Amino acid sequence: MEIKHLAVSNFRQYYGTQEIDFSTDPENNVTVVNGANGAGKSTLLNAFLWLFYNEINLAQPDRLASERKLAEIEPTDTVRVSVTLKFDHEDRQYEARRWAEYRKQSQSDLDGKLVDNDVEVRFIDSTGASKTESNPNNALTHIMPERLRELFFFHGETIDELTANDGQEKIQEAIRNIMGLKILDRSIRHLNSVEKRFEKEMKKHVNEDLSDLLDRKQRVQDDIGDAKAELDEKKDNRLAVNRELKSVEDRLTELEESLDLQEERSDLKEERQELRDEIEDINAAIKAEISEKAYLVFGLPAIEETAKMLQEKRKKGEIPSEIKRTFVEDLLDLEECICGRPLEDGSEAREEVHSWKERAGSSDLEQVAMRLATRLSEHADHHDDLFEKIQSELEKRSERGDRIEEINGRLDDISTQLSDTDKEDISALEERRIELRTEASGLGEEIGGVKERISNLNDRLDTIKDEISEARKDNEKAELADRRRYVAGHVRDHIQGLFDDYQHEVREEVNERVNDIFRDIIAKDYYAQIDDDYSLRILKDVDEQEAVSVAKSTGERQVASLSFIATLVSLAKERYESDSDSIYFTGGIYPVIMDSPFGYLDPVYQQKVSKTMPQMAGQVVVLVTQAQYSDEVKREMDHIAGKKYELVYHDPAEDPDARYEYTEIREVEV
Amino acid sequence: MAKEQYSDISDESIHRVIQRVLEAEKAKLNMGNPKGIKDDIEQIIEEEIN
Repeated sequence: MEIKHLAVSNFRQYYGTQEIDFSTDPENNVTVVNGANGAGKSTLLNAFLWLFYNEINLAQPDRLASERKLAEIEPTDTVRVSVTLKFDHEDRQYEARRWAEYRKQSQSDLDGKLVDNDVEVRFIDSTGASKTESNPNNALTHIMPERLRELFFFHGETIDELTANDGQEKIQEAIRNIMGLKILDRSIRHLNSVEKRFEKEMKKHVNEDLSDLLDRKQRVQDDIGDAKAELDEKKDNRLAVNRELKSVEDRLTELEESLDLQEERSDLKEERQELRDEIEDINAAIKAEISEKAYLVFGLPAIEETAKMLQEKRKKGEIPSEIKRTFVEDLLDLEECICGRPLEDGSEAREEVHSWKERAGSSDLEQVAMRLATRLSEHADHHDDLFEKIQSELEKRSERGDRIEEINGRLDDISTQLSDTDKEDISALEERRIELRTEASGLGEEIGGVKERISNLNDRLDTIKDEISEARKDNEKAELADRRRYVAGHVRDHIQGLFDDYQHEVREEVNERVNDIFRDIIAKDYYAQIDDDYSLRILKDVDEQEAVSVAKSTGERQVASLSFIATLVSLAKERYESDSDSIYFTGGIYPVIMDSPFGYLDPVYQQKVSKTMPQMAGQVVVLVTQAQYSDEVKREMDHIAGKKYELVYHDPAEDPDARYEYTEIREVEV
Repeated sequence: MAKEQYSDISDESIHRVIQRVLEAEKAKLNMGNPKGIKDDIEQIIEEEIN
């Protein structure tokens, strides 16, 4: 960044528009602004702060408008305050302006009321195109980062705060900002937060029921396995029972005394089975009929009602009928109307009757109505057919049921006869047959029960599988969140390692340079050091092994602080020039604007600081009183100052022409 | 150590996350309050680890 031109308009004591052209000559990179105490040096420094950060570090910060200007205007009129800076930055020519408008409230109002304000940033890029920044505040803080402001805009009389006991934080912050540690520091903090976010996400999804579900699934699968084994066993048992039953029945057939009865029983059983099959067929037929035509049961009243309505409408002539049309045609053929009038060709009466034929003609409506009426009648017929058919099927089923009852009765009789027979072996066989039949029947019921149990277990297994699938999905999300949590933590630890190594390296580098500059300025056998706790201390060697912190004068502390600032300014410049592709802070070239930098320095230190600072920074603006601009300073500054200005302060107490204080900026020849 | 738990996550992935996180921080370095930076980092990790 290279500042070129500053214009302040009605800003505090600067009346009208006052301007400064800054020196941009690399060999004469200093701009000196001389002004008495109260003339407006600090106001100029604050003009930069207001422009870049909308901040004022002066007493009565809300009183921005020039007192003299406000005195000149009428109540309700406004005065516009502005600060405009032209500068170059990264191949662009910028013009930044912040302005505020104040309205005079009354004749005696010398404060004004803020009614409007804004900031504008325009630039011309390397192609010559003129553009306006859409977010000017953001653009300004990017160009001149606020975190660096204390290094580049500073007041010399308070700069020694860096060496105070509570200055460590500022020093640490300044080093981190300039040397790129800030990026690492922020990354660590932000990754910490992100790690917690992923941890929270993981806890939201983790499903601790999964192992329980897997256990339950295993138990149900085991139960199904047991049930299937039980089913197989019962089926085997039933097979064995049926085999024995068949054997008993065969034996009964073989015995002469029971042969007839056994054969009859066999025939009856065969017949019974056929009847049962027929009943099954009948049931299926009834079911199919109901499925196809059940709507008739519920829809018939509406169908009948519709058919009736159509008939009535036809009767009323609202819907033409086939009969009416035929009737009219007959009259025309006979050439005589029903009233007896002749219907000769071309007669009016024939035309009239013919027109009835047209109206009663076989129109689409009539055809549709006819078809509908016919279909509705068919539906009514289907309804009757349905009931007749079902009734018929039910009767057939009842007949077969009755026959089965008869057969069962006869089978019981046969069984009783065989059991009661005198022939012991036949009786025993029949007893055994009955036992086996009972056993087979019981086994059949048991098999049915086991099958139902297996079916229920399979339903439960499906439900558990669905639950497991959901739990797995949850756990997949939880695991993904946990992996991301791990990566956030791992990356944070890695960056923390980088930070620790780099911080040590940076402190060593800064330390060495601070001491070089300090020793170059200070006359005594002291040296400056930044401790592990970031305190900037001035030390003196007692012997080869030991150094002690020495009591420091304000001037010495100021030299140490200036050495520190010069170090960081020069490092930022070097980094910009040599390492612009670094992932960390890439440095930058910024102007140093020093307000009263020599406040407490002895003349010899003033001279050395005057010599050192311009060497460290790209551009230096020195705001000094005439007293601070001592011969020693002058000697150094005059030959490197590219531009010099004087603040001419008009004090009402001393200037009879000035009713209100104001300051003008005048260029002085170098 | 977590690294052993997720040893399948490659060093390349970790390195990409580090680079992208630092670049995101650098893009918002000059903002006093780097709004949305945590969301940016979260998104970077989600994109790299999926």
